[in-house]
Amino acid sequence: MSHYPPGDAYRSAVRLEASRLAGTGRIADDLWLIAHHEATGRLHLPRRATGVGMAGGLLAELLAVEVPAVTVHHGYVLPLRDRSGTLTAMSARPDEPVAAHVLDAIVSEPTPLPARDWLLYLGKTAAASVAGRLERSGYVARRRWRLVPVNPDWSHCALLRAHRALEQARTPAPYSALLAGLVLACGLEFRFWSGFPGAPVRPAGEATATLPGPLRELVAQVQATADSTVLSTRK
Amino acid sequence: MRSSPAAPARQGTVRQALARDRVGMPSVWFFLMSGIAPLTVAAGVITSAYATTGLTGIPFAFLAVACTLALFVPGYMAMSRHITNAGAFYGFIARGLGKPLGVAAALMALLSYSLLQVGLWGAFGPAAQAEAQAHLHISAPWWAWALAGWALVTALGLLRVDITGRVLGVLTTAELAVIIIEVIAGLAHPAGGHPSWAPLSPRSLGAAGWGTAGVLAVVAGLGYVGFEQAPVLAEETVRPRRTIPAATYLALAVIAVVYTASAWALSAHAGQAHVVAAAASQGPALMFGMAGTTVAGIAQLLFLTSLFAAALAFHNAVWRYVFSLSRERVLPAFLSRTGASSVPTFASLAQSLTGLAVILIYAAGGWPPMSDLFFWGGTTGGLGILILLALTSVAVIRFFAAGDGARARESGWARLIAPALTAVILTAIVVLAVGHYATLLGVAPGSPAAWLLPAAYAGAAIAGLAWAAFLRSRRPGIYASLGLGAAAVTGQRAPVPGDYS
Repeated sequence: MSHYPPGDAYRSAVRLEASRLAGTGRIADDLWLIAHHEATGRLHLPRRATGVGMAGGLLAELLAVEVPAVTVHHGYVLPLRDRSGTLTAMSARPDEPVAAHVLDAIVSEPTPLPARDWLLYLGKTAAASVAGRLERSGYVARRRWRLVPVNPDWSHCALLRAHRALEQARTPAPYSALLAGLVLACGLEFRFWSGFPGAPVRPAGEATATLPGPLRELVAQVQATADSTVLSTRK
Repeated sequence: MRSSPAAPARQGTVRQALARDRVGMPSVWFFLMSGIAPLTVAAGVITSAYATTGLTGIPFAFLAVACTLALFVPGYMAMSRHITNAGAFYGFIARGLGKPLGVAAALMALLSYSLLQVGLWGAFGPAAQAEAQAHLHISAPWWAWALAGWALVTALGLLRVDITGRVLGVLTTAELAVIIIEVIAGLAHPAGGHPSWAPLSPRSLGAAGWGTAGVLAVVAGLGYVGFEQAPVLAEETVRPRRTIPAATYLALAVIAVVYTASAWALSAHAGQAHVVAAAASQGPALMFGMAGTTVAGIAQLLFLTSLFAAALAFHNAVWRYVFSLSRERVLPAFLSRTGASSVPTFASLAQSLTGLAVILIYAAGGWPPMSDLFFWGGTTGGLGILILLALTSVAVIRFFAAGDGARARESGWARLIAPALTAVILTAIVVLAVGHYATLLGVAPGSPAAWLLPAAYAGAAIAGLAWAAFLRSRRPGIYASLGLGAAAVTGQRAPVPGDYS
């Protein structure tokens, strides 16, 4: 009995598998896969810390595009305007619904807010929003009451993409540097120890030094906010 | 591209949502009271103080120290509105008196909180031993029970299990209720037929010589350790400018009344002339026995849970302190690495190993745990807190003297007068206490412990100054961010309102 589907179906399955190993290309999606156990879907961190990391990922998606609609400056998340004074968000609204929802929330606030406030606010729902996005993309599926990665290899690949930025032999690519920065900032560093024991790595600051200013500042804000959840008496 | 100009200030969705998560006055108050562990102090510290020091002015000492700490609060709260730093003493002193003294204060604070935590095993062990003997008929040495408690705290610390707010609230309320019952019973059945008011007189502070007033103040100060933690909750509190000071003053007032009354009731029930001998022979049982056997049984059990809760709370406080110091590289960076549960594993284990070493040393040495570990560790830890409070008071004055703008809007009382009075009083207390440390420890003058224990703070301070000098010369980037707290990570002292052009 053959183990593989015949002809075209097989090739389609192989192409799909290869694309899933490459990830969705969205930072928050990779962060979700790293923050949850690849077999059980359980959180590696307490809920608040995970939420802060995921919120950072969603904000990073808005910043790390060709025409960003927001920026992080002096500790604030600020909607950007073009030369005519029009909000960039009007013309550069992301197609992806979760990212669009985050952008809408930012531009609808009456006054600019500190990044920390956004990370805590978005952190309440970020993990669920991103999980829903991954479920629609076929990366996770519901098993009983929890969403679990369909294939553990896809989670390992997400971790690998982050770890690449820390390998001393490589020049960190922007996506990897940003992902690694967020992984370290929200307290998931131990995922690297278990996934790549003994591998020589460059310091986190060196990996993110190549990022543009707003993204570096976002990573720093995620770290500071995640640190505050460590110090907090609440989980 | 230009960034968005300022819009009219009304509270948006985000602020409203975050405000719903914030805690109110009752939560802050219970957080403070649970860290103070009232029955640990009432039954453990006060009876040990009577027995060890031989001084009877303890009741008034609690009132006097409460008044002094009430003077400390305005400046402390004012400065906490301008500085957010989880390592409070360290951050305040670094920003007010300079980074070298800040680092020195950091190590002194670490020593102090560590002593307070490990000292608790000296009471937990004997208390558990007594309960196990009485109810389970299990006979084991005090250190075996201390090790069992230590193991549980170590595991819970790594799992980041705090005793939940509700459980802690119930236990704290029960402790306060038991103390009130014991106090009423003690005052209702005084030796000699009527309670003496002498222990509540200011003259009682100098009954054994005014030099011992410092000793009494250190004992009393130990009872209030934990009240200074309120600013830690500022970011999670509704209307923090009002809630944090109110909860702090309320906690001080309740503690002052409870501890003063407890110490007075013990003196009244046993008789002022006999309370020292009674405390020496009965220990915490002197407190438990004032209201009959039923209440005594409940009180003994609550004493055990109070000690355990305090041990866990101080363990968590120490690793949080280590984490915040390590984040700024005052301590090695690996101590701030977190594992699953968001606990800095190495920081938690370091504190646990300290406790383990101390228990084993005392077990091997055969020294009495209640006096030589619980009381010595606790009072020496309390001395450190008083030193830090004095330094913080001076830091408050310098911080506001050096600033303008928002800082100048704080009242003169908070910026100068209250902290100046506090600094003078606390400095006098510390000097007197160190000069009579043998009395505090209940040892002969010239005993090594009488100078070694307070000298440990001098050692910590010197180490801190040396480390700051090293950072300044070899790691200037790290030195520049000392005392900045979260801003050491973000590079911002505080988000700048409106500054986004």
